[in-house]
Amino acid sequence: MKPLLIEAQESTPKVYLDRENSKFEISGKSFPEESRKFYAPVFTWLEEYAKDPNEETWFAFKMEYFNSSSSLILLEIMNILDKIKKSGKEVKVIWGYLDDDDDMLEAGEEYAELVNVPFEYEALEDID
Amino acid sequence: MKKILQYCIAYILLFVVFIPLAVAQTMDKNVEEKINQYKKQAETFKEENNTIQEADNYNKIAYLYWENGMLEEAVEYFSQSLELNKQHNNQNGIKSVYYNIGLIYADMESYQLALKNFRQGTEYARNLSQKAGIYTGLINQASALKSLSQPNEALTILNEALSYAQELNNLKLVRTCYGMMAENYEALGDSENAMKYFDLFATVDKHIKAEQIKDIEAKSKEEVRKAEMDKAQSQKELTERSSELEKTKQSLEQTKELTEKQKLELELNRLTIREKEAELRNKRLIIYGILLIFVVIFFFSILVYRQFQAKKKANKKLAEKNTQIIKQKEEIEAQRDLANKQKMDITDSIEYAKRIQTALLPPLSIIRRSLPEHFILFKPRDIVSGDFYWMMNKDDKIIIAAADCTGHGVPGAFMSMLGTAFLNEIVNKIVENKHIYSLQANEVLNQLRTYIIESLHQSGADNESKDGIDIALCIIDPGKQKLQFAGAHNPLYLIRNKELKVFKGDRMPVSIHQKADISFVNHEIDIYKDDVIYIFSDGFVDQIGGPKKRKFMSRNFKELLLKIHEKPMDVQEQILERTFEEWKGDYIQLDDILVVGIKLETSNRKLVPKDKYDWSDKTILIAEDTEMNYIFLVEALKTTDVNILRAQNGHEAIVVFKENPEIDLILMDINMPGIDGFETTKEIKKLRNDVPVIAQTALNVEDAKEKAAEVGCDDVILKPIQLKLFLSTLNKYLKS
Repeated sequence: MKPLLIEAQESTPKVYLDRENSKFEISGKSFPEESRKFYAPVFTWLEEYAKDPNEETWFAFKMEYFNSSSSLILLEIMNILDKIKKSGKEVKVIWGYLDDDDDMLEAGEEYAELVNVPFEYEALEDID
Repeated sequence: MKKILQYCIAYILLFVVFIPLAVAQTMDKNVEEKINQYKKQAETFKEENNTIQEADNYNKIAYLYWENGMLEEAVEYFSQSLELNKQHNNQNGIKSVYYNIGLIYADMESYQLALKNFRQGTEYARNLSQKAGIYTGLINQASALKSLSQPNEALTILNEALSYAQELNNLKLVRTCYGMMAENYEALGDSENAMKYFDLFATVDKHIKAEQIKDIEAKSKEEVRKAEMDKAQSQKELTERSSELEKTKQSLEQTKELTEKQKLELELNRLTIREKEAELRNKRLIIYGILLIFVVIFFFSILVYRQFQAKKKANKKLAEKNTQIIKQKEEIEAQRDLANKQKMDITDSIEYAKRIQTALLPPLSIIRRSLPEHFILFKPRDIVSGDFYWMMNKDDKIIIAAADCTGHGVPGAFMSMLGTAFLNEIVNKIVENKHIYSLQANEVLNQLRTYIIESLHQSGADNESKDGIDIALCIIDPGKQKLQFAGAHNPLYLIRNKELKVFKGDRMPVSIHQKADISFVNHEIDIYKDDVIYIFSDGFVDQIGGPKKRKFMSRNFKELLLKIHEKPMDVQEQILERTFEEWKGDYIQLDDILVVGIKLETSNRKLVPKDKYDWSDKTILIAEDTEMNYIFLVEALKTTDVNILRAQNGHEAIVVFKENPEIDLILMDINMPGIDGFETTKEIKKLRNDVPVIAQTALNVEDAKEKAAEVGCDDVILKPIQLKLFLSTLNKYLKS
């Protein structure tokens, strides 16, 4: 399965999904004009991945900012992770946030309440 | 030097001393000559037995002596004249001569003799019934008596003289009498009468002088007028003359011009002849030149034609290509124009949509009435907004919300419209079906969620709209000093005693959600005076900017609010806006911005009277010209929900009354510009006698009551109004 790498843009995050190297990460700012369109390849990749996932999936979100439509998308991504977990694999969300960004930490906590995937919080000095 | 000075002094002395002496001598000589002349004439007339002329000459001689101070001689000659007049029985002459002799004796200070002569003269004047003559005689007698220190006698005579003066209607004579009477009373020591007559004298004197001044003024005016007329006349003449002069000058110039013209024409003729000669010479040259040019052009044309033929073929191909390109360009331009037009159309329609959205937001004036100290910082990212604020007043409770719909721009705006409409309906229904006291903040959010899920047909399935609203909603009850809060995602900040307390919103939106069956939490908070609360969307805290292009973040937002919460609300708004702009810098605004700040006023309660009236089905016309008073009345009537119409003067009141038959009562200010409240009431009662008119006045209420009853006012209330009395008075008339 080919890895998916999308470099960050002004309004879109960096996406790096690589099954071989067990790298699953979305990071940066997310407020695309058309969020569905931007995240379409991500969903395609994840749906494909969910069919035959690794034994262990540590999915990292290192968000600095996301708008409300992006927040729904992130939830959908987590719902896919939830499905993978339900299929008996080990799944974990690494929720990275800038260490003084209480709002982002809370957003993570809220997601954690909505899915069955365990969350690990990670205060970051910086998000590249 | 000294010598010159001596000469000068001598010379001056000569003039000062000798010349007047010389003059006196010559005068004497002249008088003597004249007297001798008169004497000779008198001789002649005597010889001719012409007594009248003889007497006349004696008189002339006497006058000359009198004038030159030779008084005895004067008396002598007057006496001779007197004898002659007596012989001839010329009573008028006799009288005059007696008077003259009397006057000379007075000059000689022989007042007894003077008095005797005046008396005799006066007798003749009486015989002649000459009022002026009698007056003169009497005055002269009085003058002599005064000098003889007989003021009583003088006064008796003066009284008679006064009556003559009055008969003669001669003010100057009257004045003289008063003056002399004042003097004589003074001599008697009767200061009271002296003052009295002096006043009379002064009054008459003033009058005469005024008359004289008037006279003089009239005369000088006349003179000025004459002078002006003369001036105008001479000016006219001057103008006439100068215009004549101008004419002469013009005709002279014309003549000069004519000769000049003739000279020029001659010169021109000469030039023309020379020019024609030159032309003939040039023509020959030109013909040769043209021939040469034609030859050159002919050869050149052949050359060009050959080249042109070669190029023609190539050009044809190029032209074909060109038309193709132009066509394509036109197509592209048309597409671009269409796109631009569509964009403009869309922008126009969004701009129009903004008007609708703005109209749906509660007007600031209404918010200010319920929440005098508040601010609303509202900065949509696009033309229309996904954030919105909403407020409603129910009884003395204020329900206010700051909401943030999923997305921004047009989709957000659609949601915000739904939100506004639903909130209105929900709160109205709860209050109608139950009671205002059972209104709960969380219930409003629960119901709002149901409305949105149902209306957007959200079932929770994938690929359907999960759009929703994040919201912070407060119910403020200033009377009970309570605050209810419920939040979807968005919190409430409360600052009390310089401490910020966060009431977190529930971690779910108002929309379909995994927890959509869980009720929102209702927070009940006691409030105190000077508590400040803030509700907001996440646009402010999530704005990226600053030196590191980071989010502003709640932490900084809280710090900022703590720093500024004691400032006036409008200042807070300005600081927040400025901070936001500075933070954002060149970065784009990511989302709509909404921050609502409210300073709670628990004292609001005091304004609300205990006895409540519901006049929502009534209409009152307030005729009041003063803005302050009008606002005060509206404020006083606020709790009754009465409909208010306003007129700013009497005329307007009548017009508004005619146009609005539903008016139940009129509050009439008495002092208004134009026709006052009384007059206006009269007119209105003529139109409809049954409408109650309540006069309101700051005047003495008893006076006003009387007048008010007269014109048909039903009641009078005194300004400034007392709220309870005011409302109960109105209620009396609105009930019936």
